[in-house]
Amino acid sequence: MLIVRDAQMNAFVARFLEEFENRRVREIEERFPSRYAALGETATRALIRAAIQKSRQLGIHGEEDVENLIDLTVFYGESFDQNEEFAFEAEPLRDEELPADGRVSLSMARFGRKPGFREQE
Amino acid sequence: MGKDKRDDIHSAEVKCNLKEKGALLTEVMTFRSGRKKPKSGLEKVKAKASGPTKVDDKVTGAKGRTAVCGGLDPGNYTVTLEFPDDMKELYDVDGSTTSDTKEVQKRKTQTYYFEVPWFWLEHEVKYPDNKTFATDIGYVLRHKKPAPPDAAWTQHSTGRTANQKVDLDKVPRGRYRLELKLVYDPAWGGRKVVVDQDIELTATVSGFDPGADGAFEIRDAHTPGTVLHKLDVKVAEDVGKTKREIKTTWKPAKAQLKDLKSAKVVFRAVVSDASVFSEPVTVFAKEKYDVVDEDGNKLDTVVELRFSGGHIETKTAVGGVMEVLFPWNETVARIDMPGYKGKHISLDEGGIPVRRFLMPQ
Repeated sequence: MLIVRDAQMNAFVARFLEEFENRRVREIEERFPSRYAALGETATRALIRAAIQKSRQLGIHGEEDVENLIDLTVFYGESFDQNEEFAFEAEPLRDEELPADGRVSLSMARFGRKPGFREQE
Repeated sequence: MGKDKRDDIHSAEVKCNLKEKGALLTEVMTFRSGRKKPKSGLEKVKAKASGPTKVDDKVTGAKGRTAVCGGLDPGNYTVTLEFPDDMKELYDVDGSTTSDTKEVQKRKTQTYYFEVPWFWLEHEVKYPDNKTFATDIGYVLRHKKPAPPDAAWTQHSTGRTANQKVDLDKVPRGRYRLELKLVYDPAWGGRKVVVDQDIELTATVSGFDPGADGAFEIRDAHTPGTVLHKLDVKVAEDVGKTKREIKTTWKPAKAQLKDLKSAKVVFRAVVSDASVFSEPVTVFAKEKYDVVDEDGNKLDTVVELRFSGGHIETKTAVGGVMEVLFPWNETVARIDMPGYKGKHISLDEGGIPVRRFLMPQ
C-alpha cells in the first residue's frame, strides 16, 4: 500500500506551483511586455504569488481560472478587485451565487476581455 | 488555453470519480447606450442553448443571470437570446450580439456574457446663446415607430421646460420630435384695419393638436390690458401636415371698438397658456364729406387733410363728395385746398364746432 504523506503532498503542490509560476512569468513577459518591463521579474513573480493567494481566498482553484485572475491582476493592478472603478467587473469574483469555476470568466467578460488577452488589445 | 488544466492548483489530489460533464450559465447585462457604466442585469430574457446535450430554455432573473445548466456532455454549445416583443422596443437588440458559441468542457462551468444597451434620449431648450435655458415653456414629445413607414406620430410625453436637460431612459425605438407649445409669427392680413372691412389674422402654432381651442383678442395698442373684442378659433393643420396655425377673418365694427382710446390696435393670439402679440396697426373709419362752396355747389377739387395724430391724407372730391379714411379717434387738425388759395374754408366734422381755415396764398 502506497501512503502519500502530507509533507509529500505539499511538496507536489509546491513543485507544481513553482512550475506554474515560471510559466506565468514567461506568458506575462510575452503578452504584457510593457507591464513586465516596468515591474521586472521579481515584482512580476510577487504579483503572481499575490494573485494565487487571492484565488485561494476567493475559492477559485481551476488552473485556467487562476491564470486568468493573474492576467487581470497584472493588467488592472494587484487590488483591482477592491478598486471602486472596477466594482462592476470584479463583482462576480465574490458572488457566492455563482459556481466558483464561472466567476473569473464572467469577470473577464465584464472587463471585455477574453482568456489569453494581450496588453495591446 | 489547453484542456488539460488542473482542476485545483492548490491541491495535489486528482479528482477521478467526477462525472465527465460540464455546465453553462448565461448573463445578460444592460446599460445606457453610449455610456460604459452603470450596468445592471436584464431579466426576462430567454436563453436557448443548443449543443451535444439538449438543454431546457432558461430565463434570466433579477441579476440578469440564468440558472446553471449542468450535466452537459462536453462540446460546443450555442446560446441564443430571445427577447419579449415589448423589450425589443426599448433595447437595442438588433444592434447587439445575441448569440455566442463556446466550448463547454468537462468539470467546468462555461459562461456566456451578453450586453444589450437600452435606448434613451435627452432634450434641452436653450436660447440662441446656447447657454441660457428657456424655461417654463410647455412641450410635447412625439414618437414615431420605425415601421410601417407611414406610422403616425403619437404623444410620448409632455411637460414644461426647466433649467436643466431632460433625460429619458428606455424609450421605444423610432423617431422623436420635440414640439414647444408656442404661438408665434402673428400677422395682420393688411397694413391697416378699416371699420366694416374684412381683415385676416393669423399666427403659427406648434405643439398643439389640430382642433385645440384658441382665440384672437383685439386690444388697444396703448393699453393692451384691455380686451376690446375676442374671436374664438381652433388650431388647424395644413394639407401637407407641415404647419399648424390659427386663423380668422375679422370685420371690425364700431361697437367692438367703442373702448379703443388710441388709434391703434394689436391682437393677442392665444392657445392655452401660449400667446403672442401682433404689431400695432392703425384703425381707420371711412367717412364721407360733402365738399361744396358757399352757394352749395358741389366741387371737384383736391383736399389735403392733416389729422391730429400726424397722418396726412390727400383726396380728390368728385361731384362734391369725398370719402376719407379717418384714423380712429383723431380729428382734422388742418385742411388745405390748393385750388382755393386765399379763400376761407369751413369744416364741419359733426360733434365739433365748425372751424374756419384760411388757405395760404
